[in-house]
Amino acid sequence: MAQQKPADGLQNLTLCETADLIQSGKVSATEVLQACFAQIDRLDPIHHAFVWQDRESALDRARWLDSVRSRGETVGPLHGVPMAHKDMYYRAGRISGCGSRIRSNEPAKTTATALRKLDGAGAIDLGGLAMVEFAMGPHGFNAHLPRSLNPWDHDRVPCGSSSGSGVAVASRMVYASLGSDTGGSIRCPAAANGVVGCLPTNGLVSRRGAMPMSWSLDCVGPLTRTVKDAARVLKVIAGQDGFDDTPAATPVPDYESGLERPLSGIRVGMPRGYFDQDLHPDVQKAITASLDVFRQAGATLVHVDIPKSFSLCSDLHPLVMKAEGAANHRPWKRTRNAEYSEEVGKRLEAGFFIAAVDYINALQYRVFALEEFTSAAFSHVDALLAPVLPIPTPTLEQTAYSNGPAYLKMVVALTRNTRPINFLGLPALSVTCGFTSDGMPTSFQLIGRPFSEPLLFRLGHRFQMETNIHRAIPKALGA
Amino acid sequence: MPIKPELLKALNEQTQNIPVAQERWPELAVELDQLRIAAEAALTVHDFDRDPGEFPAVLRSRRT
Repeated sequence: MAQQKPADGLQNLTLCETADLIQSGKVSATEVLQACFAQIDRLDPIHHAFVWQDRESALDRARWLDSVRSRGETVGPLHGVPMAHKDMYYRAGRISGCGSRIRSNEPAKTTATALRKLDGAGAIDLGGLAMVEFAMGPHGFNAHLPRSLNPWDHDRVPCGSSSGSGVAVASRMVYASLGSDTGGSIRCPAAANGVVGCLPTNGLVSRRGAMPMSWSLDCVGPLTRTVKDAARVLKVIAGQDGFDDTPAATPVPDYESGLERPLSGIRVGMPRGYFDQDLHPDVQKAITASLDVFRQAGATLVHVDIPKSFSLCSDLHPLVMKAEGAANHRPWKRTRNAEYSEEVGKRLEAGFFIAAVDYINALQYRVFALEEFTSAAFSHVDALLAPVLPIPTPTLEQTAYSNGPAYLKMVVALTRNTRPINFLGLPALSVTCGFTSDGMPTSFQLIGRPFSEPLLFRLGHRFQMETNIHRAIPKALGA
Repeated sequence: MPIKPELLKALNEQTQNIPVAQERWPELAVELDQLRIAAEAALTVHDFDRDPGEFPAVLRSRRT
């Protein structure tokens, strides 16, 4: 691929393919950026992935990166790669609206560590992407913004809260995007839009300069089209920064270097309990077929009983998230309540009445649950394979806001398989593994021990190489 | 005993002072009951000496 300069269709290349072409001088950063502009001009008036764009700054940077390249130098592994991010990553002096009215006029005082690291690796920051207001909601709707549309089917939700990230990457408008995941907000939109979503181990990536939603659960991670792309981006953004105390003081491995290693000796866990409950037959079929791919690739499949405490992790997750979210929003809830959408405003309310002792006991339980789950789940396997969404991607109508039980059941179902993983702080990699009978992509998540991202990438990459499912093109993009 | 909407309303007036629509109090009571049941269930493994701040260290210790 890197031997030829593509005449067109640059936007269909992966991040790594594009970065390699730029580094080899076969295509310029400016050409790649112009291809992204063309794709955005063609699709964003319909898909509404972007909240804002700064084309002038992006072009200036592309030209500078090309001048660096013309001297035979490169800035880093993402030299000249256009990206855009969930509109909650601060850049000093710039407004990140966080999908809200409340933050729509407030320039940031600092620059997010993740953005600084991407800048340092040569990436181009093209703009801010749509998100659920303050990242509080799984279906992707934001009453303050034009509705982001799923490129596979405009009548289906893009999921959220990193809705614009999922749509922009799936629509080939950018090569990668930072999302954030507190209860599934990277993995769910990745699954709904047919792209890869990476939830790193809690603390692996600094959250400095990212909008806080729930400090103990929030994670920063990428959405990309391939696992290899995700590995490259995570390598850039992971590691300590001296500001956020949570990142682990461990060296960040080169995630790309082990991708091609064989899977012989790797044990993939098939969960018994929790993940197999309320599972739609179409999703079950795709999961079963995926397991067969791993078996044929040399991995050993092993049944794993999910401990009963896992269900309690799922129930305690909203307690922690709501208590922390309410604390963040308390002054605004008192003085600027009318500026919240009805849905998000109501979602915040319960957190104000959670007892401090319940909150602290939930955090104490988290430590116990992590120990128990890792012992139970990973004593016989190296990674677990479980569905991201237990159901086919819902329609817009199914997720229309109401106080009715059907709406509440739908919202809970969207994150039932993802939020316990945040509670446990474990890494998970969402990879498209097939299609439900309505033609929508569906994904598995590979869940591993803390800091087992190298293994998850290795498994996910092998799956993509064996199946090529990730090369399917969303309906709305045309031929 | 389930949480009563009246209790939440009084708590709000005395402490939080956030605007809440009248019809929301019964819904909030149900939601908070569910969260409280989860919190009570967590107490079955309560460990007096367990510090929630140990979580990052336990994450690191469980990597292999």
